[in-house]
Amino acid sequence: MPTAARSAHGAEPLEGEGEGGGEAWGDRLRSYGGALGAARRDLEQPVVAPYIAGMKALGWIALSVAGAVGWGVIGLSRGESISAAWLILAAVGTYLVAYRFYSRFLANKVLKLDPRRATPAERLNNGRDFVPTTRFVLFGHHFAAIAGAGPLVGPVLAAQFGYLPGTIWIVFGVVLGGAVQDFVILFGSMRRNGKSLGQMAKEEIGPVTGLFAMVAILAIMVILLAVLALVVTNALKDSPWGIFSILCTIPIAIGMGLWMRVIRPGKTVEATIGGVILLVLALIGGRYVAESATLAPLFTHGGVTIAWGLMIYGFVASVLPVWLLLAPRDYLSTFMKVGTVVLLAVGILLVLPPLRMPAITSFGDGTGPVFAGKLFPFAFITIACGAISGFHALVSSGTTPKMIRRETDARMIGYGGMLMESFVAIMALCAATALDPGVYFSINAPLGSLGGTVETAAAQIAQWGFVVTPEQLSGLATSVGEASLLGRVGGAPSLAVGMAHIFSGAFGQQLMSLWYHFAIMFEALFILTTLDAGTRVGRFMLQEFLGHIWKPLGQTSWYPSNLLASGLVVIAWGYFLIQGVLDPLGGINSLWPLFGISNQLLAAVALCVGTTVIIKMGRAKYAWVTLGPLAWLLSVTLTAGWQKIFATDPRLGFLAHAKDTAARIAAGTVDPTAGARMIFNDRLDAALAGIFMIIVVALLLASIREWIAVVRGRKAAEVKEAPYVETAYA
Amino acid sequence: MDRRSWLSTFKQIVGMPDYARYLEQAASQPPGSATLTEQEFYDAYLAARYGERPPIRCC
Repeated sequence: MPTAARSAHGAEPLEGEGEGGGEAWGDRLRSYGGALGAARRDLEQPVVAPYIAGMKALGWIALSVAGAVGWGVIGLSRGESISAAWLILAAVGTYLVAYRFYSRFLANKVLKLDPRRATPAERLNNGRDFVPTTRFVLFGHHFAAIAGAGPLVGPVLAAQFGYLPGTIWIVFGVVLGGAVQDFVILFGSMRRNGKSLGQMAKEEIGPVTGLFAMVAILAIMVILLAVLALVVTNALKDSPWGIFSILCTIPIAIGMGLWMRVIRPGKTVEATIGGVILLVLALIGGRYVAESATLAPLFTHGGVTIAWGLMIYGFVASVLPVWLLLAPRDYLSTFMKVGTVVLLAVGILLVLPPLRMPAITSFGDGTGPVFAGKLFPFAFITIACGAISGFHALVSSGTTPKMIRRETDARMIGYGGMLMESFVAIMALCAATALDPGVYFSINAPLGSLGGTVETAAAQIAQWGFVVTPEQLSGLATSVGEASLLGRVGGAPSLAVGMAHIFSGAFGQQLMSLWYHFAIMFEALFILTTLDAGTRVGRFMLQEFLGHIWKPLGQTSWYPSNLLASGLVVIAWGYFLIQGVLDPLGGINSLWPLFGISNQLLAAVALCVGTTVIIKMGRAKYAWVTLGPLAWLLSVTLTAGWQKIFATDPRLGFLAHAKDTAARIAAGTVDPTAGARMIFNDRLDAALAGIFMIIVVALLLASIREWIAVVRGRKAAEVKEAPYVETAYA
Repeated sequence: MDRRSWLSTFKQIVGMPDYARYLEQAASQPPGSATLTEQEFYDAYLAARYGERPPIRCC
């Protein structure tokens, strides 16, 4: 090894340590030379610095003013519809200022990133998972890992409250909460050779805590998979074009897999480009299928059929060899994901649509049709991934920390990556609020509340206070190549309509239906990849647990164990999926808040771990950077959880809904077997929410005990980091 | 950047195995350890990436 370990940060190498005196001297000379060079640069600084520093300061002042102007226009526009440009200006201005000042403060004062400290990628470099990667590439890799359907669905649903609450939470939530969480966890994992969140919880707080955290993580994953599967099901219901295009992605991926491993081994880029071309062909072919009298019925299926199809797919994909289906899908969907996000950004910047949704609607009082609940706490629960997401803590303690080349890169990757995701959320919010509000509610309100036809829908929407004609609704459906858009809840179809408007405005007016189905397919594509990858991750976690009960079950190479564990995971999320499909309220109404609550609770867990890391590093005076968002998150999620369990409104509270259903069974208006199942599901959802809340409170109490012990001095403030080794890089 | 590094950048972002990069790293290792063929490297890469702890994709 070229560098000698140091006894403490900055001290001289101990005599006798190190591979050979010559090498140690060589390093000392190198670092001395480096220090000398830096000193010389410091001497040079005073001559050049004031001019450059002044220009930089002017630049930042201008940017802050621009951002403030954006917020000002948003704040002062009472009643007139403003352009998306102001939202974007406000958001981007705030992000950049926060990155420049707040993340620098976090990096230098709170976490103290050390550019001279060797990262695990450098020390344990094995060319496979521990690989030093330049920061721009790693930023792209990390962003591709954290970006998903979350920032697209949440803000679209939260648009029910108007564009203002969503915008404020997405921007300020990420800057003070989400990006901080990602950054701190990434840093913590990097210092611990890439340990996962569960492992860090176990080591820094306590083993029982770690176990709780792992149980919570597995449960949250199941809910996430169910909810995403529900979003896809609702988007593809009774849509032959959509179903055909998505079905095509499976043979395309298998073809790619065979190409990359058997026909022309290693030619991954070739195969991916071929896959994309075939995908576009499948997309165009979908139109012919939808219009053909013979083929259309073959590909038209209801929600339950699609749900079972997804379950079979999830199971099969997670047990097939990785090179055949999972890896090619992964490449394809990552490529499409990044490409489409860029396309959306360009489209919005070209079109800068006016936002038609009001700044704040009356639905903040809890009467909203899309989902039940008042603005506080449910606007924050619904947006989840756009502002702060516990799941990101899992990703930030996954592959990324093992690839960081230099510690200081973590600032851009951890903090910056989350800011980018938040920007995707802002764009999704713009696309959804650029829709006519009447159209937005016709798509996102459950079919039951809309009445089933465009006439009844228009009448109901008028009662909610928005004007839309039946002709507008049926005309829109025809223009996107669907039979009906009514009640297509889940965010994806309305986002697709918004994106189709934007793309056809920017790139091609005649292609509205193609853009719509492109948007649906792109979102369904990477949701499906999340489904199979997520089932696989869930399978591994479950096998780890089962291995403690009966040894052979824990062996991931034993095929029967793989089948069993995969089957259990699929049955778990499949159960909630079917529950959501059969739910008369639309499924999203009950499942998305459950996902949001569990996601934010996991974020609370991550912030607890982050606070523990900061306090144990001896910087308790800066612990407020994680304690602040933690306090906010806890108040929001515990309130939301409590209301979802105990609220008396049957649309909101699970137990109240169960009681209501029981009353209806007694009155004869609801079929007894269906009703009994609904009651069971309500109680199950209530129990889940309750279990999450209890786990998080237990974890919080264990953490607080640890913090107090360290701060009071009863316990030594020692972190379990990997030992300091100086980097060999210049 | 030349074509080779654009390709490498793309591969790393999407998460594809980069055989050329592995060869570079293998060249700097002491001789004696076997260098994997492209096929073996592909398998080993997938096994490492999706094996013990498969990459968690977010929502």
